Amino acid sequence: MKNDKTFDDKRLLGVLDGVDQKFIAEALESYDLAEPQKTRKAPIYRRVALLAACLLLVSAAFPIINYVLPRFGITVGGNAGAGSEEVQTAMTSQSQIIDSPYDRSIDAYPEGMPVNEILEDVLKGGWVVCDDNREIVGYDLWNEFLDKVDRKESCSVLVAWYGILSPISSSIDYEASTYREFILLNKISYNGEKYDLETRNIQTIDSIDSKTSGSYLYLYKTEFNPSEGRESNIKLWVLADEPNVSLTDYFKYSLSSTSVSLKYSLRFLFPAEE
Amino acid sequence: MNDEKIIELLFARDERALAETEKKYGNLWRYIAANILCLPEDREECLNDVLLEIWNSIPPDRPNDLRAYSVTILRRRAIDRTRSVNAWKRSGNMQTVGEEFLSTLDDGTDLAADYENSRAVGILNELLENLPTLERKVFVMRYCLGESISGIAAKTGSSEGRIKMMLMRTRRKFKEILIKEGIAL
Repeated sequence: MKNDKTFDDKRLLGVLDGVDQKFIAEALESYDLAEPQKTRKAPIYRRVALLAACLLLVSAAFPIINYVLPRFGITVGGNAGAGSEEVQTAMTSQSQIIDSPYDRSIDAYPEGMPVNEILEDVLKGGWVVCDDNREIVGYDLWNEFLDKVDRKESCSVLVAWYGILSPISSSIDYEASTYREFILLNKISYNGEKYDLETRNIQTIDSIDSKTSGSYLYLYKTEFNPSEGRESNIKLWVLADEPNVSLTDYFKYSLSSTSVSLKYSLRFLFPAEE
Repeated sequence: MNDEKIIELLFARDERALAETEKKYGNLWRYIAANILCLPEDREECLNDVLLEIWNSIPPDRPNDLRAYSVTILRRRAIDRTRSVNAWKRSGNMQTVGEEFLSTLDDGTDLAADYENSRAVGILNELLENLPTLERKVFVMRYCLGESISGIAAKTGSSEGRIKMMLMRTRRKFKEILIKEGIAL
């Protein structure tokens, strides 16, 4: 993004100023600020009494939880020691795996990959969602993954890459005749030594109109390359089962192109080569 | 007092209309003004500007929705206050919102050339018309009302991640259409 852009820019104001009032009216339906809020604080003696009651409840609950309930074989909370980490890890991994669109067969989508439906699913949690490396949802999961890689622990993360194919991303290899949203589902695994990249929905290309008849599709992204001081097209993905080239090779190829944002996103795939 | 009554008072040049409007929508205006302007004194002056403009524009205007009408005025007046560099430095959430919006439109997209004939505006309104209701509301709340991501998430009952994705997708669709229509380079 250029640094000289400001909100005062006519480009922005000119467009947003013209948004139809009916849309603003519609959005304002979510605001419930029409009437002044009337709040009345309870008298001081009531607040003190309420506080005292809470303290009494807490102090009474403590011996019940620790001494009375265990006699009947009931425990509350559990051991906060060594086992809790394992439980937490198991829960995290479950949330990433269970009910995940990644585990659904492509046959489950006879009409093609439903981008909206899949996005809804992956956004429910346990996924990292990238938009051409510019915006990422799920930084925490990324960072968690990176931390484990740093510690040489086995780990995996599910990544959904969202994008729109259009004539502007055309190249000699591919020319889209229509604008199509796509979502690419990856599972990136690390076993303590090397990475593995699985791609679930390569078949997505079958639903994309292409004037070329090849069995492959390249996606390009234009990025500023600081070492060359200019913008360059970077081969980002190949969405195809081209027999002699694996997707992982293309990630390596992309990494060697060393763009700022790509490096940011892909460095975790091959940190040893940096 | 309902909007129709307030508008009737305005047409009758009865100053009670202003008090009633401020009473009814003052909280909403302050909330939205706070998204755009940081300083309380700026916001209060902005509210006075809104009341003055309502007084001057109704009549002849007879808005169907006084709330949306007044918020549109508020937004314009608030942005006017951010025009100077010093005011801009004091502006709040809208700076982030503006940069976020432009981040997608960048890459040579030049709306300024087409600003006068409003092609881009028409395209945006057409895009909004065709969006699902939730995505449209989210877009307007973010870019027209300066609402925070967390605020939108709370108001729509969605997660922040989902809101970000919706905004990103809408921005990208808009950009793609602009390019397709030959507005961008």
